[in-house]
Amino acid sequence: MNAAPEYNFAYLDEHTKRMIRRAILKAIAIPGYQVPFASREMPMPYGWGTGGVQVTAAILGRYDVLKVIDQGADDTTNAVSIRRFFQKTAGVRTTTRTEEASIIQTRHRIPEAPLKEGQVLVFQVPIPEPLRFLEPRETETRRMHALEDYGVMHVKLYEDIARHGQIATTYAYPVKVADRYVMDPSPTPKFDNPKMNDCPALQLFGAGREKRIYAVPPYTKVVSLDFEDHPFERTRVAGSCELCGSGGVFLDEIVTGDDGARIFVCSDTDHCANARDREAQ
Amino acid sequence: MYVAVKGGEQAIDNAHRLLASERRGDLAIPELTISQISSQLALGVARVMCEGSLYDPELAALAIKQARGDMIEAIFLLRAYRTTQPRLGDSVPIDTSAMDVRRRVSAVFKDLPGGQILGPTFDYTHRLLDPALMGEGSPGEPARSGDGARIETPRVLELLDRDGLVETSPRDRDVGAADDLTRTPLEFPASREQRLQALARGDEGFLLGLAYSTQRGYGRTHPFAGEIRIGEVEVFFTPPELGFEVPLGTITVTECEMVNQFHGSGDEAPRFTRGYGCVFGQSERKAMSMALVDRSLRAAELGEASGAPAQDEEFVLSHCDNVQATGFVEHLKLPHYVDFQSELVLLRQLRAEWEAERAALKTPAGVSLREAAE
Amino acid sequence: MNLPAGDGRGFTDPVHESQKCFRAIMNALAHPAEPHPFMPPNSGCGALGAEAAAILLTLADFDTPVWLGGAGDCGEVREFIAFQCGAPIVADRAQAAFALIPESVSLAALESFSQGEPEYPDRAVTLIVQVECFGVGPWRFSGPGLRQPRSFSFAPAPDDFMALWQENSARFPLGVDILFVAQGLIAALPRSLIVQGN
Repeated sequence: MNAAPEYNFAYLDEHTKRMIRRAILKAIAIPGYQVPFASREMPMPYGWGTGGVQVTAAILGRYDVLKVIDQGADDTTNAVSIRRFFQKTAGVRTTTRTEEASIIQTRHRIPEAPLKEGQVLVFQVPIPEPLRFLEPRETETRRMHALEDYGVMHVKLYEDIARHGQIATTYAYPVKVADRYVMDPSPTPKFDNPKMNDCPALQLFGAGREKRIYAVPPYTKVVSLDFEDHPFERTRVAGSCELCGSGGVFLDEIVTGDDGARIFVCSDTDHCANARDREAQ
Repeated sequence: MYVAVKGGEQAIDNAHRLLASERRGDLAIPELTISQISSQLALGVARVMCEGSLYDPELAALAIKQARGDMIEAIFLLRAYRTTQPRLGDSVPIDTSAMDVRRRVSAVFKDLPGGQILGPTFDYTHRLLDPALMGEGSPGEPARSGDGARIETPRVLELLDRDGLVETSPRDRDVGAADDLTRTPLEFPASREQRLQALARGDEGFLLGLAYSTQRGYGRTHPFAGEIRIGEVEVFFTPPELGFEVPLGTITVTECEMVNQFHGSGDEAPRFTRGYGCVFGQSERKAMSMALVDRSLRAAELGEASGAPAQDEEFVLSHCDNVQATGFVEHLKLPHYVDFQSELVLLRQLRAEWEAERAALKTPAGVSLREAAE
Repeated sequence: MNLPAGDGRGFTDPVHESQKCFRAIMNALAHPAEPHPFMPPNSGCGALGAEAAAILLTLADFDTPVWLGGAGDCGEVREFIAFQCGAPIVADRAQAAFALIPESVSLAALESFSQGEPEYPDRAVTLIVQVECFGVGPWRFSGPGLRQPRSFSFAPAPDDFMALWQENSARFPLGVDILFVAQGLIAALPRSLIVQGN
């Protein structure tokens, strides 16, 4: 190792990209099914978006415009770090504007602005298996998916209702995709779940440490699991953003004083900036 | 007025600068050289090469320096570099019987062909801090080794195998057919080569703890250290265009073969079973732990599974990788405020409902009906 | 490995050309039952048209056995795939990750290809089918990727294609996925689509 090492476009070598691309295509053909892939060690830690980064690296081209968000924000440190990684290794144009981006890599949020056909939303996924916390064994959960045996999940949700009067899952709320596979939407708040249904954009999910890729094609039915007598309810966010005044969007709570004073601001920083721009005009 | 937090880019730049200056430390103290690390902290270098899956003492030393001595960080650095390297093909399996042995001990025979060779070991040192090492002491008298002639050391387990006393090693497979853990995702049940690869890359501490647990009864395997050998072996490669083996170089490895609980059935005469461990560099602790865990993971195959943690293939192989483990544990440092906010909203709602319910239960006199009933 | 091809038959700029082709393939699969522009930068080889060749150059390598049907099974095509993609050619179609059907009319017996396994449905073949042209009707497809049911056809098609596809989608999540190519065009039928007569 002498001079600064030279890496391939978007870091991954071509063989690895082909392997990931094949996995992505099968993931699109079998919506919601987790395709195993030979995840590579990336120059960033497992659990910090290596799956999303590999998916983005495999699809990214010179003419793409990339947006990276974490918690809805373009400016969070890990989003900055991943955006820089692609600026450095692929030299692509980046943006913070949702509507300008052809690829959006995200952790924990779906942007407030409706996505368009042709856009790709890449999710970073820590634990892709929605049944994992009910059954730790991969051999077992794989069998359950094969048999479409999702009884344990319904039992869990029903126990929630018995104990709390409602389904006490607020993020990573399980969904059923195209009437077949139960899927983990990644730890997005359940507030974002309805945006996945019939979405014009392609949604790709990458879990690096767990070595899985899955997908929701555009215009695909995505239903949050529920019961007839306890239908899925989107988290109702009370109040509006202190900065832009938006209501009906996901808000972060900010502690502003020692006395416990709090305000609420948009989690989606691009949405917030746009709303303020419009107001200023 | 509240202003949204910005400046992620700036913060990262500053953090990197701080890290670099803390890594270097006091400028009045000479900087460590890579050769100092690779020659004087050789066992640390060996661990980084082994768990980093890349035999390169110089890069491993660089990784240790860059990681400020954090071994898992150094292993991570080496792994991330390794991934970018082109793969030219599979080497011919190394032949540890032909090892140029520096140390070789067997706990099962008092003496054997080739003899016991104590070699460079901490084993019989008295663990007293050596004040002589505090300063820049002059080196002691150079160690005396044998006459330099290569000693033939047939493997202990082969001696047993000759009499049918131990199961035959499954190592003689088609060359080139080995699964590669870094190229195909792990699947359960795992193949032997995937299991051994995962254990060789696995965290030394994790495997040590598991191995120890088998000795304390959580899946006992009745182990004997059949043989531990440390030394240099030559690596060969067969370029397709040449069609014959060419030597690539020499690597140091530690190999441990455990002799375990015998096994047999109506069809098979009873014989000892094996556990296998092999690591880069000198690391008996890791090689022995690996051999113990390899054997305990064969519990299901040998019909002796008892539910002990070290016998649970999915549990062990899914959690032994320290680069994966540290990444996921440490990712909790990343912001999770969106999820936390969702939980807060629900928790506040549940608490409000609970308070309302409780208030409703109270009589005007302020005595809870529940309390009254109790 | 994509060898830097001096003969102009492979990709001359493998990194960017394969990325561009991949995005076209991905887009076709995400928006199925619809012809999309597909401009291969490479040339074809005998019975292997430029579009089908581009798919193989983009996706196939030594990890993906390729099966060649009909006129595709000739020395010229075999040599092209071995040299440009490094992919092994297999005689048993059930072993193939990719299968080339040079003439769409001979599309038959989809179940004889690898369908995947209940626990690993991804381990199924991708068929690359060369057609003369695309059209609308007589079939209507619906399913993931389609906002509303969509008329789609290709020619020449086997008479029993609708029955073939109904059997294939009945096996879901197992089954084959098809990439159809015509000159300058690509269209996909993932196994998740359901077909009805118009």
